[in-house]
Amino acid sequence: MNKIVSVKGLNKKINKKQILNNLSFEIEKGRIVGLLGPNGAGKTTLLKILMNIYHKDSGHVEICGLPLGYETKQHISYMPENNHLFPWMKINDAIQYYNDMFSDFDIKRADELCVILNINKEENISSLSKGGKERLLLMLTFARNTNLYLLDEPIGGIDPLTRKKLIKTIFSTANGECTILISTHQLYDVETLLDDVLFLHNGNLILLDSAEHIREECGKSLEEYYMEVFENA
Amino acid sequence: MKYNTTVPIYLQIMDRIKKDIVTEVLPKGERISSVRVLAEQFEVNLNTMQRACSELEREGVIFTQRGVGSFVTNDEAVLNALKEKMSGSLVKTFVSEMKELGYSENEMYEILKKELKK
Repeated sequence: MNKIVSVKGLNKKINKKQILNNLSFEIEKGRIVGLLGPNGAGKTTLLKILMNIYHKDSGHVEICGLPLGYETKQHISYMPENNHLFPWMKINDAIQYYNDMFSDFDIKRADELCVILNINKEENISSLSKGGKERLLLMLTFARNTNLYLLDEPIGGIDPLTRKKLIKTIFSTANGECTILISTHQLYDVETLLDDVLFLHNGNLILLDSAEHIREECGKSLEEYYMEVFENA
Repeated sequence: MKYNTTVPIYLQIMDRIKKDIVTEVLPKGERISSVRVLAEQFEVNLNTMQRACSELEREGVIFTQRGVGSFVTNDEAVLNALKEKMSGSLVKTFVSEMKELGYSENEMYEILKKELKK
């Protein structure tokens, strides 16, 4: 079973607006895939559908060979765009909360990640900065041992130094077993990390290709290629 | 390591490893780290590193012993060829760029001699 995500003819409307338009693609196991596109392209909606938070209008979605549902959620570690944790919690409470919620949560790994990402476990969640919240969510997301990680804009508010450490952490987690789908605008930072890129524009899939193939064929960096594609889109 | 993002990354990693082999940072016969460790070192993903290694293996620069690990080749012919290819491409760029600047062959000799005597 090499296809970890398989999407066929996916449609989604929100308030009569077509957000995703007949999307079909597959993601292979062990790949790190960048989900790229301008604002409003449908990236977050797509991730939420994979996570079964939004219901699809039509089409077929399989995760690890299973149709969307309760079971598929267990295979996915999802980092949402917004902070969903209770503001009265301390970071330590959040770790315990995740530990209770997910059977694949690894407390040891959480501790390691706290050190790497410079997280003080006694701090209150409500007093965290934007970058602090993102670091916390990343720590919680990657402390789970699972097959598929969905990251929605994970590094927007993180300083360059932590970002570098973080990107290294993402590498070491991606040990060839797990798959990461990451939506981001910080293309430059993840340029060397991505295996494949998926370009979304107004709900249409305009490209799914391997990063090295783009460099080889066009002699362009992903960022340059992105500019070219979306300027003419 | 800084990458030129317009060139396939696996090629840049291959060049880097070859350079390390020629300069004997990685001596012949030396065991090289696992793909996973290398991926972390080069800050790329596992698939890219895997590709770089299998291409190096295909070119005979490294070889893998099942269950033991990967090693730099002991084959002098391969090592010499590597070195020759590298110096060859350096000289080629030098000559072509000097030609672009309008230097003649003799002038190039003179400039090289002068530089070498420094």
